[in-house]
Amino acid sequence: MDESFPIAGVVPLADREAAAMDEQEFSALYDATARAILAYLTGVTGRRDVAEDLLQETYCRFLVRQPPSMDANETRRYLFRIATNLLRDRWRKRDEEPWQEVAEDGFSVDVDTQMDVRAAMRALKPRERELLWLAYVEGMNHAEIAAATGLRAISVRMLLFRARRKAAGLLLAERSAI
Amino acid sequence: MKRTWCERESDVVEALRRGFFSDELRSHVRSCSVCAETQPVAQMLLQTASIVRGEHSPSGAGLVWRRAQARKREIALKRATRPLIVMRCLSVAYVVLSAVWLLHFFWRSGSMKLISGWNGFQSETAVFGAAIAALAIAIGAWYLLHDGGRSGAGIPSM
Repeated sequence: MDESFPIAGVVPLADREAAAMDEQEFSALYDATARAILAYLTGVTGRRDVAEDLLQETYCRFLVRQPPSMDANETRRYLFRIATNLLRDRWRKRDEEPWQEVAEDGFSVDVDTQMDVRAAMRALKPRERELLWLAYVEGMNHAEIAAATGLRAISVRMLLFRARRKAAGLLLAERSAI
Repeated sequence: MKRTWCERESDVVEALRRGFFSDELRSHVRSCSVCAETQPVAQMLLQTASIVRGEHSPSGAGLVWRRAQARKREIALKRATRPLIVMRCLSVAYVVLSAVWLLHFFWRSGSMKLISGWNGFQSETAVFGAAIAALAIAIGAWYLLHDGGRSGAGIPSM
C-alpha cells in the first residue's frame, strides 16, 4: 500500500489538535484496515462477538491516542499492536478462553477439514494463534510481527517455529486419526 | 542445528493464496522440513481467514468514530475538572490543618491565658494563617494555570 494516512502529531498538544484525523480520513483508514483486523481478532479468539467489541475498542484507542504521522504500513502494524494488547488484557483478566467455532453454519469446506481446523485452533495457545495468523494470513515478516506484538524479532522466530511445529503436528495427528 | 525458518516460506504462502505451486516450489517443499510444516498450517489459517472475511463485516466507521469522540469528550471533561478536585483537596487540607493547629494552641494555653494574652495570639495567628492561605492560593493558582493551559490545548475539537 502506497497511500498514507495523516495522523496527528504526538509531541505538542496544539499541533496534535491541528493535525487530528477528520471523519473522512478515519473512514478511509477504517475501510482499508478494519476487515483484516476483525479477521485477526476473530481468528485468534474464535468468537465473533468478542472480536467485534475488540475491533471497536482498537479504533477508539487509536483515535483517542492520536499517534504521530505514520505511513500506511506503520499504521496497520500499530492497529495490530493495539488489537494484540487488547487480546492480552482480555486473557489476563479472564484466563484463557477456549477457541470457539468461527463459522458454525457457514463452514463451506469439507467436514474433515472443518474438524482439523477446530481441533488445531483449540489446541493452540492464544499467542501461538496470534503469531501464526500474522505470519501466514497477514504475511508479516519477523520484524513486523515483533512490532505488532511487542516481542523481540529473535523471540518471534523461535516462538513461530514452535507454534508452526505444534500446529503441523496437530493437523497431522487429526488427519491420521480420521 | 535445527532450522527454524526458511526464506521460501513466503513463496509457499503466496502459492497457497494463488492456488498454484510451481514444480520447483513443490520439490522444495518436499525437501524442506520448515516449508513442509508451513504448507498445511498456512492452508488451515488461510481457509479460516477467507471464511471469516467473507461472512463477517465490521460495523460502520461512523459508529466507531462517534464512540471515539464521546470517549475524547469524557477524557477532556475529566482533565478540565481535575484542578477543581485539587483545589477542593487543598481547601480540605487547609481547614483540617488549621483546626488541628487551633486545638493545639487552645490546649497549650488555657482559656484564661488566651483571654489575657489576646493581643499576642492575634498577631501570631494572623501571620501564620496568612502564610498558609498564601501558600494554598499559590499552589492552587499554579496548578490551575499549569494544568488549565495543558487541558485547554488538549481538548479535541468536537
